[in-house]
This record gives sequence, C-alpha cells and structure tokens, in this order.
Amino acid sequence: MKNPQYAYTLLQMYTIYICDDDKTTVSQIESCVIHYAEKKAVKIETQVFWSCEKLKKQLDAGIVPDLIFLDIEFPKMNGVELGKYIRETMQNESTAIVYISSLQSYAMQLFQIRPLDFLVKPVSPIQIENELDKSFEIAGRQNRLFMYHKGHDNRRVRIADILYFESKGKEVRIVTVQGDDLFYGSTATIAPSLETARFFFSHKSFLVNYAQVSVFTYDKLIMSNSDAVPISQPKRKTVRELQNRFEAEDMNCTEIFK
Amino acid sequence: MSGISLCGFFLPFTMTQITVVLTDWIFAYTVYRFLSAFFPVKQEKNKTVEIVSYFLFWIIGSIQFLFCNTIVANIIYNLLSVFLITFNYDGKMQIRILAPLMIYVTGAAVEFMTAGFNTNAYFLKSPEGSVTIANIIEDRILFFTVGTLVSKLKNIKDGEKIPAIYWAAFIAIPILTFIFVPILLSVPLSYIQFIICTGLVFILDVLIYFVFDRMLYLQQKNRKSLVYDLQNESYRQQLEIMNESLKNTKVMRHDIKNQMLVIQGLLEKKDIEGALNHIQTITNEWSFSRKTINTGNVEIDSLINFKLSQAEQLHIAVTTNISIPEKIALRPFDTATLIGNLFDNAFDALKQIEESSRLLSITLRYSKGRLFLVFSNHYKNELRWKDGYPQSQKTDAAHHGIGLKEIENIAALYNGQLTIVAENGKFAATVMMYV
Repeated sequence: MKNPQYAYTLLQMYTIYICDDDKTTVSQIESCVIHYAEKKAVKIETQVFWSCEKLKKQLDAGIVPDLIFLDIEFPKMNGVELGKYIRETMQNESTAIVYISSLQSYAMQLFQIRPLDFLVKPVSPIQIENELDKSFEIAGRQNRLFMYHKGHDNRRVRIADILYFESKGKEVRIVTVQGDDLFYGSTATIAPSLETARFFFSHKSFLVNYAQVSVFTYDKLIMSNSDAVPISQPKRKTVRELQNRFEAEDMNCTEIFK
Repeated sequence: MSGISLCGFFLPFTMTQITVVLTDWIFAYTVYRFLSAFFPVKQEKNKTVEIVSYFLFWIIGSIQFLFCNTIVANIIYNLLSVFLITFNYDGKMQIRILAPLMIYVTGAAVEFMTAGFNTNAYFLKSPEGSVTIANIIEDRILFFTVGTLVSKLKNIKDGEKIPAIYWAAFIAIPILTFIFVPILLSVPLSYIQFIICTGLVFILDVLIYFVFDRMLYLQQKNRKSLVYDLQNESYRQQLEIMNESLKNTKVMRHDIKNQMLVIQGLLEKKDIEGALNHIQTITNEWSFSRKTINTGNVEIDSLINFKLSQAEQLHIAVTTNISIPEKIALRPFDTATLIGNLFDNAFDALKQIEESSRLLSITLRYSKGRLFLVFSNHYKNELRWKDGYPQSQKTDAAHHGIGLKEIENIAALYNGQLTIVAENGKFAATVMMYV
C-alpha cells in the first residue's frame, strides 16, 4: 500500500430520526425510508419522535443519527431551537437536518442551522428519496476514517469530524470537532486521498473540509467551530468554482434534462 | 574636464548639470502628479515604499544623467522606472504600460519646446553647450503645469473599461511621436519652422490626454444610459406586476359575487348539501389555481410570480426549487436585474423550440453565506459566443448579450460569478454570490 496511514473503514449502519407531531407526514416519511432501504439494499434504522424534547433527550444520551427529518413548528421547543442545540451546543455538524414545514417562507435563523434542505408539506416520495440520496452521498464521502501516526501511536479520526489541516513546517496541525493535534507529514501528501471527501486548499497551508465550513465569504471561511480560515488571493477563483461545482451536484438542477 | 568648485570641493560637473540634478525632484514630483491621474487607488499600507520609490527615481535618475547621459539610456531608464513606480498603485497592466509612455512623451515634448524657444539643438537632456539654466527651470515649470492639468482629468482614472483597440491606439500615438521627432530633427529646418514643429508636437501630445479623457467620459455615459435602460425596464416590469395583480383581484371579485349568488340560491332552496359541495369545489379550484411562490421576500416573490405567469402564456412548464431567507442583503435593483434577465434569457431560448419540450428549471438557494441561482433549459439553435457569452437569439440587436453581461456585473458586485454551461441543447446559467 502506498499510503498505509490513510486506510479507510466504512461505517455500516445508517440512522434516521423523524421528528414531527403530524402523524400523516411521519408515516409517509417512514414508509418512504423503508421502501428506499429495500430498493437500495441498505440497512437503515429509523426512530420517530413526537416532540423536540424527546429527541433532545435521545441526543443527550449520546446517540447521534445521520439524518433528521425535523418539523419546524411545535407547541413547545421548536425545530429552530433544537437545530441550534445540535449545531451550537453539541457542536455537531455532521448530522444532516431536513426541515419540513407547511410554510414556504423561512427566517434567516433557519439557514444558520445549515440544513441539508427544506421540504414543504405535503411531501412527496420523490422529494424524500432525493434527500436520502443526498445524505447517503455525504455519508459515503465523509463516514470514513482518517489515520495518522503520532509517535508510535496510530490515531484514527472520522473524516466527517475533521474541520481542516494546517501546514506547520514539517508538521501538520489537524483540527477536529474534538480538538486539535500535531503530527509529522505534509498537507500536500494528505490532500489527494481526501479529494473525494471534498477537502480543498483555500490557501497553500490550509486544507479544508467543505462540509465543515459554516459561512463562506470571498476572502475567508468561517468553520463550524468559529475558526476563520483565509482564502488566499490566487485561490479565490478556484474556491468559487468548486463551490459552484459541489452545489450544482447537490442541487439536482439538471433534472429536467433527464 | 570642466567643473566647478563648491565650498572648497571640486565637482567634475558643470553648473547646468548640477541644476538639472537639483531640480530633478520637481520632475519626480510631476511624475507623481501624472500617475495620480492614471491610478486613483493607492495601496495605503505602502506609503513609505511609495515615497522611497520616487526618491530613488530622482537619485538614480541623477546618477544616470551625470554618468551615462545618452538618449537610449534616458528612454530606457525613464520608461522602466516609471513602469516600476506604477506598482505602488492598483491598476490594469495596460495603464502601467500606457502611463510611462505618455508621461515620457510629454516630458520630451516639453523639454523640446523650452529648448526650442531659446536654442535649436536641445533634445532629451542633450550634452552640454546649448542649454541654459533658465531653459531647465522653464522646462520643469511647464512640465509640472501639464502634470497638474492632467491630474485634473477625472476620467482617465476610470479607464478600466476601454476596448483593446483603443488601448492599442493610445499606446501607438506616443510611440509614433518618438519615431517622428528624430526624423524631424535630422531635416535642416529654419528657426521658425523648428519652433512651429516643436510646438505642434507639444500640442498634439497634450491633445491625446484630452481625447483620451473625453473618450472615457463618453464610454461611461454610454454605460450609464444602459443602466438607466435596465432600471426603466425593471420599473416597467414592476408596473406590469401591479397591473396583473389588479386584474386578478378584479376577476376574483367578480367571481366571488357570482359564486355567492349561486350559494345564496342553493341556500334559499334549503339545499345545504349542494351549497357545501359548491363551496368545496370553489376551495379546490382556488388552491389548485396558478402555481405561485411565497418565500416572504416581496420583491423576489412578485417578480418570480409575474415571470411564472408569463411562462404560462408561453406554454413553458417551470419547476421551481426555492429556499431563501425572507430577508436577504440584495439591493432590489440587483434582484430585479438578476432574476429578470435570467428568465428573459431562458424564455428567448425556449420560444425557439416546440411547446412540448419547453421546460425550465429554476433554483434559488441560500446556503452558508451564499446565494445560488440556477436556471436550466433546453435550446435549439447553435449559439454564437462572444467574450465568453452566448449571444441573444433575439432580433433586438442593440441588446445582444447585454443580459448575461449585466448578470455578471451584478454577481461581481457581490464578489460572485456567473457560470454558463451550454452543450448538446442543454443550457445552465449559475450565479453564485456572497451575501
């Protein structure tokens, strides 16, 4: 093997939570998911919650799903508050959230939770399938392990948890959801193996995980832990172009051509 | 070797040479005035570097003049050093090349003139003998005056949008003057003829600045009027939207009256079930009537709904996929231009193809500080590309390709970009902006 330290393991089980107080929507989504699992021959575990409080309790117990279909309007704790809790308090960026609502207009707050998408009720099976496709693609890219050597240790990090790498001379600083670490190596040798996971250079010494960027501006990236990573002048055009490419891939804008 | 004695030191230079060196800082300062006309934006942080660069320009220039005073060295030094000085400022490469040329030719013309009035053998700091100290002073003053005048020409500063052909012309004029002057000098001329010729070269040179400035002014005016046209178009569309909704309200009011009469009739006959059925029918019909979007963003909603009704008239089936916040930091004018032009562009293409395949997909999506607008549709005729944009298939020749150019300009305002992919009859325009 050429790069023994970058071997990956695929994590198998996929968990989906559905949180809505509307029975029709819940059963519709549930049956779509079951159908999808059969069709694609994948293992999916679903769990239904009738309120945000119940879902929060489950999250606090340490069980984190891959995807949540989350209603916005609830009598007590609403979908926005729970979303904020997941992103800000739990610092969880990797769980995809699909908001479901009977309305078409959304407050800016909702966008700050960085949802995978918004669905308007009544939801259609095709829409659900699209969202599942999208989140499976993300999981396929990010639900793998990155390994590096630290002294005599072999350390493993889930790629989804990596925010960015920074070159520090002969060492590389790895910044993850759990904290940061230093190891011998170079970002240039790491980069090729992480290209499919959508890692890109925003600067010659910063290798960034696209999925962990929470705000893009033209000259810097705000990461999910609030770190600001610069986009160097010569990289601005490429960074713009890759955003266009990734988002176009995610948006299914070319469906009419099929 | 001749020279002078100064404070007990013997300097191997003439008084004229010393005067040139001592007054050359005026020359450097004049270059600064000229460049301030060409480069309005200074890089704040490099103030010291800027001052040092002019100082070095003076010192090295003096050394060059004292020890290597040939025409070739003079031309090379002045053009190269002014070119390097331009890197103190933000600007286009064309301006960096044009500015030293124009400044040098002006300087030469001025020297040429001041010398011409007094003697007839002075050109480009020629060797000793013919130039008086008064000439040098006159030369500095005149050059400084021209520099100050030029720095007042505002439009030179905005010269970024000039077509390449004009750039070529403006760079060619000073170069041609350079070729012309030595030829002129090699012909034996009378004193009067010489004065006239040098005067003409000087006038010609100053005129270039004015023509250049004027042309830029016209160019800008032209652009502005285009913007006005677009603004007018967006107001016209707003009016149409209002008109349309007024018509809808009228129809609805008329409808409500008729429907109420039917229900009243049914109730009078005590046919409660019939009345309920009728109400159900009406409710169904209203909720399944025209497709509209309602994002809570008034400008975007009204514009898109208006365009959706236009699409309906053109028998275009539109799929919308819209998730944007109610409030978005886009100027209404920019919103109208962007969305209006993207729709019009798609409509133009779709009008050319048969009704059954008139499909348009629009996506507006806000995500992580960015707004994405994607319009995809089919097209039929081979596209003609110009400056990286497909040209409009409309017959309205004056507006060819302007829509997409305008979209790109607006995207650039938000540090974004427009990407167009068109192949095999499939067209997709993607606008990405940081908002």
